[in-house]
Amino acid sequence: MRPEGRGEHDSLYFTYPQFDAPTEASTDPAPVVIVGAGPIGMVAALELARHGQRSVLIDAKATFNDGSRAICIARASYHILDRIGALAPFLKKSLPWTTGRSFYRGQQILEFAMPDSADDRFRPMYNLQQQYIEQFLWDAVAAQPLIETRWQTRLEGIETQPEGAVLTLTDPYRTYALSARWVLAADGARSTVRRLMGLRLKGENFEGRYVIADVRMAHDYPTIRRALFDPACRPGGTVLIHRQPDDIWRIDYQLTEGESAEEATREDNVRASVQGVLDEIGETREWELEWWSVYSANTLALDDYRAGPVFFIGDSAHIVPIFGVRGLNNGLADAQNIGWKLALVLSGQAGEGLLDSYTPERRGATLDVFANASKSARFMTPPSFGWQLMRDAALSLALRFPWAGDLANPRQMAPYTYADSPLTAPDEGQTGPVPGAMIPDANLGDGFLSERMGPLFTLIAFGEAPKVSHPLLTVITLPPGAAWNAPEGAAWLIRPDLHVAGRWTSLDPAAILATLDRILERP
Amino acid sequence: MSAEPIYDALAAHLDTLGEAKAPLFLAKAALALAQALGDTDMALSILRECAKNLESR
Repeated sequence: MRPEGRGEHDSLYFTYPQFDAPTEASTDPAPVVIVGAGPIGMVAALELARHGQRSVLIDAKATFNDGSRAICIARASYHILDRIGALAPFLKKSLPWTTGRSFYRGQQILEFAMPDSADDRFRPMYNLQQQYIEQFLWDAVAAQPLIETRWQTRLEGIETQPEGAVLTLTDPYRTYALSARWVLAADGARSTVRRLMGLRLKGENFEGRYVIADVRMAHDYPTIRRALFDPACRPGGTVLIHRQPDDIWRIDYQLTEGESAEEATREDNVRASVQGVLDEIGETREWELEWWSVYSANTLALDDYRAGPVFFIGDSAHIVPIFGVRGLNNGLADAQNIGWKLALVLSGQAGEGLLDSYTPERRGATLDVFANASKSARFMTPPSFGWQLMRDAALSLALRFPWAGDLANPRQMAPYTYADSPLTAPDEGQTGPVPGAMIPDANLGDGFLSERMGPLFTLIAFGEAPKVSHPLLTVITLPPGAAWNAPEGAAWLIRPDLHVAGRWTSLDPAAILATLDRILERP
Repeated sequence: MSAEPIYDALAAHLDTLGEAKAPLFLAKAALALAQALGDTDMALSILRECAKNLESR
């Protein structure tokens, strides 16, 4: 929502582009149709294109999503942006951060730092408004001839069979049918694809509701996330404050039990609440209200992220509470995961069975997020007498005992380890990243390990150069100890998404090729 | 060690704080004492024991 007199896309600092509907719309069958040109859909299209695969990207809107929405991009997502070749503008514009501070009744009880070291090419977290995220991804999509985008194109119907789907699409000029071998549903929390297919998200609704408001204010507080528990401006509630580029500040504040969302989101109430928060943190400068929305904490997911030829990616498959900042980040990992798998299947380099690993890997990641986010949500928004009392006890203790402050640590999540994935080989190694884990980066002196990775699979061998060759494999040889304390002879097989497929203490070419074949030759 | 000084101190604190603040005080005390105990299993076992025999007459 925006202040009175301003339209939905009438921002103080961002000019939303206006995209025309296609003048012509080909009805030639498409290998992949991606429904939804938000960040998730665009990353999926870019990942497919990176591996030479065409897609048609459709979106009902004529511009980007309104408002700043998701603002925290995690390190793992920067690796995804790097892999799809869209990184540069993100690095230039976003604000990196490592530190969070928590306050209880005005007094600081905790300062935490997320893991970061000289081996990391990227910082643990970056703040950037979603419209910039979409703009930068769109710039990459528009420059990519393998992606055809159709704006103002609405999905009206979908019929699926094992060997493909037929979509009924409507734009201002026509209604037509488009066949697709595969469909990626990247159309968000209120997914049209999901509704048309009669599928439902399942899970829990938490009680906590938050207003999220952006204000523009010149301000010199560093990029440090602040959490205010039980502040004077909102007794019993929780407030979160984030800095974004362009002097924009995100203020999230919890609604109390009796407050209706309708009342709370009235402009005068939002203004008064924001002023209360700014008074509380001692900000006396002028500010302008940019945008606001209301949010409730849910943990909801589809039972299966695949329905025949349709894969659900991002919020269409799962809705997570904001506290772990895993909504956008998890969705980007979905897009990359299905992107490389589908590309290998479409090019005939892998069997369709590879796609069966998408749900266990990415739904597993969602359930992991749920477990962590539920923990955070219980602290931020205690759901019952017991959780409320113990939360208050921890906060009250934290004023005097630092160990209690640690209970308020939100533990922003690390990427999920695909330990149980059908693609993950049994562990034959001893040090470094385990099978299924995303590899930590390493500073090699003349650059980072992540910059040397091949386009598809990469074998990292420590010591002598191995005699292994495969058309999809890039081999990197490093001196022992150059990364991960790896001893002479140790080897890792890394997937296109930088997760470990297998690791070995001594390099056996046959074992490595067999692991690669097991991934690719899945009927 | 004798439990008596702790028993006395808890009673005195509870009387001073009153019923309204008693739950928060006892929750803080339990967390802090468990932390000082430094033995998670022992603390959890004591909590389980404390949850028994609470029936009112």
